[in-house]
Amino acid sequence: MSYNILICDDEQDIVSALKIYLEAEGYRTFAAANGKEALELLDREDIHLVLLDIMMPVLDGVSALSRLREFSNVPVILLTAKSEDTDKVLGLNIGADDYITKPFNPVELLARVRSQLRRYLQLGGGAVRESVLVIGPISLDDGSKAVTLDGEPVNLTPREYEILKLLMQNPGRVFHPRDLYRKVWNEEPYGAESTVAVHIRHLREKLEIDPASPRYIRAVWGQGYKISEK
Amino acid sequence: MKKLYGSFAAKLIAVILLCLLVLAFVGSAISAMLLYQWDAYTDSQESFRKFMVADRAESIVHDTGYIYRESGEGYVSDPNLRCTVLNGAGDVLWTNYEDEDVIWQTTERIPPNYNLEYVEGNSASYYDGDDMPVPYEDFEVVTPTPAPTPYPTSESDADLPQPTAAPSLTPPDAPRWNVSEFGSGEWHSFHSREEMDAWVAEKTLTVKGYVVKDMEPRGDLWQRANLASFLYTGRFAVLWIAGLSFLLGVLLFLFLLRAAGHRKNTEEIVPSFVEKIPFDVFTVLVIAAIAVFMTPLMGGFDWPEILFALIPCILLIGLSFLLWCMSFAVRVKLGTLWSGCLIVRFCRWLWKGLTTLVRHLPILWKWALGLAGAAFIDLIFRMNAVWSENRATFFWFLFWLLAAAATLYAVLAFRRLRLGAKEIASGNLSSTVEEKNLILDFKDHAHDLNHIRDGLNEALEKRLQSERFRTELITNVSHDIKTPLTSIVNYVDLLQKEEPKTEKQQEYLEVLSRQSGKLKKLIEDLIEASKASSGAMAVDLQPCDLSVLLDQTAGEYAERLEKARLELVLQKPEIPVTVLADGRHLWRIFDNLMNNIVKYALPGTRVYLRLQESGGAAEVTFRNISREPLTMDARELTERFVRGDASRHTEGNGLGLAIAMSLMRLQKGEMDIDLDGDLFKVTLRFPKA
Repeated sequence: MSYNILICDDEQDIVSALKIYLEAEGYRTFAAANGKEALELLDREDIHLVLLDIMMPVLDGVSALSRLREFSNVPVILLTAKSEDTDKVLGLNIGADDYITKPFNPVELLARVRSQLRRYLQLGGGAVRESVLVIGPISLDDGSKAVTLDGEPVNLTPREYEILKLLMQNPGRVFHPRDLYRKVWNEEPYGAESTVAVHIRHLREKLEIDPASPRYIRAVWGQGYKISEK
Repeated sequence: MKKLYGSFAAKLIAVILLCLLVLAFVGSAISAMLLYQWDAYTDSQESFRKFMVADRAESIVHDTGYIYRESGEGYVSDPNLRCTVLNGAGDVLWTNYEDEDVIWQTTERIPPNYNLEYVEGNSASYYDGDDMPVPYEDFEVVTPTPAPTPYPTSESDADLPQPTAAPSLTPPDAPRWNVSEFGSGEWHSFHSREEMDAWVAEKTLTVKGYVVKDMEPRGDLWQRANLASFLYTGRFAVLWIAGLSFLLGVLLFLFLLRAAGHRKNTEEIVPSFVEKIPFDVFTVLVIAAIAVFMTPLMGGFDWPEILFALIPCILLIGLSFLLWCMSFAVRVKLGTLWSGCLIVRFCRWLWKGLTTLVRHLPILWKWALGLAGAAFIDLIFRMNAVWSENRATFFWFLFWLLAAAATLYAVLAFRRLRLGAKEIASGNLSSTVEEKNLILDFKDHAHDLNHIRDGLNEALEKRLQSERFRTELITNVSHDIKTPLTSIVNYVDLLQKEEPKTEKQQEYLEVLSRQSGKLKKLIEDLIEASKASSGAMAVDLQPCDLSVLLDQTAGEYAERLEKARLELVLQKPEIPVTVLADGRHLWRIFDNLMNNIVKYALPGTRVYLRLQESGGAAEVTFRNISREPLTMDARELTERFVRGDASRHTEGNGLGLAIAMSLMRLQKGEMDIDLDGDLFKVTLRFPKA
């Protein structure tokens, strides 16, 4: 089955490029030049995902998003030229599922689109077993010791698995590297705390689309690490 | 009513009416006063008439007596008066009274006209009896000085009867009265007062006067009686007239005051030419005019000429006064009463001149003048001390009290200025030096201080504004650059996927791809740098363990360091080193510094990352050996777009150090760069939490 993706950006060249990429992946695309057109298209067509620019004439992305959320829970990825953290937080708070900053890497964009579509259409509503921990696209089944990302199995080393399990069991809590080391390695670190940082980095590379700006596995600089959604 | 105020005709009529009322009031008031004095309000009409007639009648009776004494003939000048003349023995000498009904009668005595002399011993007093009754009491006075010539004569006395003719054979010890009837030349001598009195009584005429009841309508008495009746009947009317004219006059006067200055067709108060005269000059002029108009009244009261002087004088005085009052009202309405005074203007001019002089006098001159004045006053007190000890002490005390007050004021004023300047110097640009109650140079100084503060405020505001503007500009421009850059990146990527390609095409596309990637990084760094340096970045200070941060950094960079063939050596204490910092900014600093190290450090060398506490500060030191020789000084390295190698061939844009330094400053920390040969050393210093 092919998915319908709505691309909303006032820059025609970007829309065209996005069309080429998305259609090469087998998606059907619709284009809107501003928020108003996007809302009209959403009303007419069966849209599975929206790529929404923020700075647009007539009706900007943020306003369009808040109106859209009144009647639909279709996944929305914000395209933004603003790289400030406050803008991202604002976008996520009013109902965006993800964001990507311009100028973006096409590969990253496609990865995020894929991830959002899978979670929205394939995993939605499935009964979750008790031994399964879920944070965003990441789910960890302690029974089968399996970790999946958007339903795809991910290979983790035992240490990485232990660290991820500890973080996912306590979402939002900040772990000091020393505490992580003690709990996972079961011994005192004696100066080996940076090993934890290396493992975290590996986890990010396996689980995050852009490891340089992670969405889930985060470092709290000067304090430790935590896992959290958004 | 409003219309009336502006109407000239109404005012003119009011003035004329007022004149008439004033005259009526003055006339009726004087009449009432006289009537009151003549008891017209308490007596009956009959007695008032008698009173009015009596005065004149008496004088006519006297006249009749004198005429008879001189000429021996009876004459009465008024047809309504009857007289009877009797001698000392009571015999009727002459009469025209025929037992008619009378309303008033009188008896007058007319003494003889004689000369009299009183002699006692060698002294003598001489009296000219003339035609007046002799005041006998005066004869008791004795002249004590001896008079060798008892009967002095002079040429002027030649036509008088000569007293020397009197007999002088009486003994010198007995007092003697010599009397001679005027004009007869015959002397009588008496040795006692009683004898002489009897002689005078015998010679005295008695005149009886009667005013008849049925008067003929002519003559003085008839006029008087008639006037008396008229006045008596009108005695209350006069009061009414006085009261009414007074009341109406006051009303008209008030109307004129209210209307003064109003003109037709305008709401404003219009000053006339009179108001051009300064008020005090005007007042003096009016007083002078009133004084001039009063002079005729000051002279003798010649009836009835006085009436002709009185009426115009009263009118002129009244009009002058009215003019003054109206002008006063206009000035009050205009608010120019005081400012219009010549004397006020002069005082103001004098004050202004003096204050300007004092203001423009240099402060040293002021000091010198003040001191000289004080010394002068002191000198006077010292001189006073010689002749009045107590008073001098009092003034000495007063002088020092004043001196203490003056110096205290100066000290307090200086203190206020000092505190105000301190506030401004400490950066509190909202503080104001209170200018109230300060004088002269203190006030100027306070004003200048406030001016400086305003200037600083303005400069600061401008700088902040331009910083904000610059940041905004860079952010907006960067945003606008990002959109086309997105297309470039995307289409380069698409081109790379197109097949077939020549080798050259492949190579060129790689250049495009690499350079667009650099451009992207450059723009992001540019925004970061401008925000960090202008302080437009939010800083959320939290306790951060630098030790943990070092571990995290080491972990993040482990693989890249390995790839660059660098060995990282961590040196840090076992205990946590906590500082107040914003973790994300802190990471950005570490990230930038490590990035530089990975890029520019000589492969195969060690990189030292040391954390230590020294004094109250935590210090992180990054040390590495540079791959290229370092040809510039440390300062230049942190300038934006300057990289360690002047040739700029390697990757990176040189903004990293500048951003790191700005971010350190944002978190109240310091960053130092040391270059020692090929050793590149960065020190981060944080104040301890």
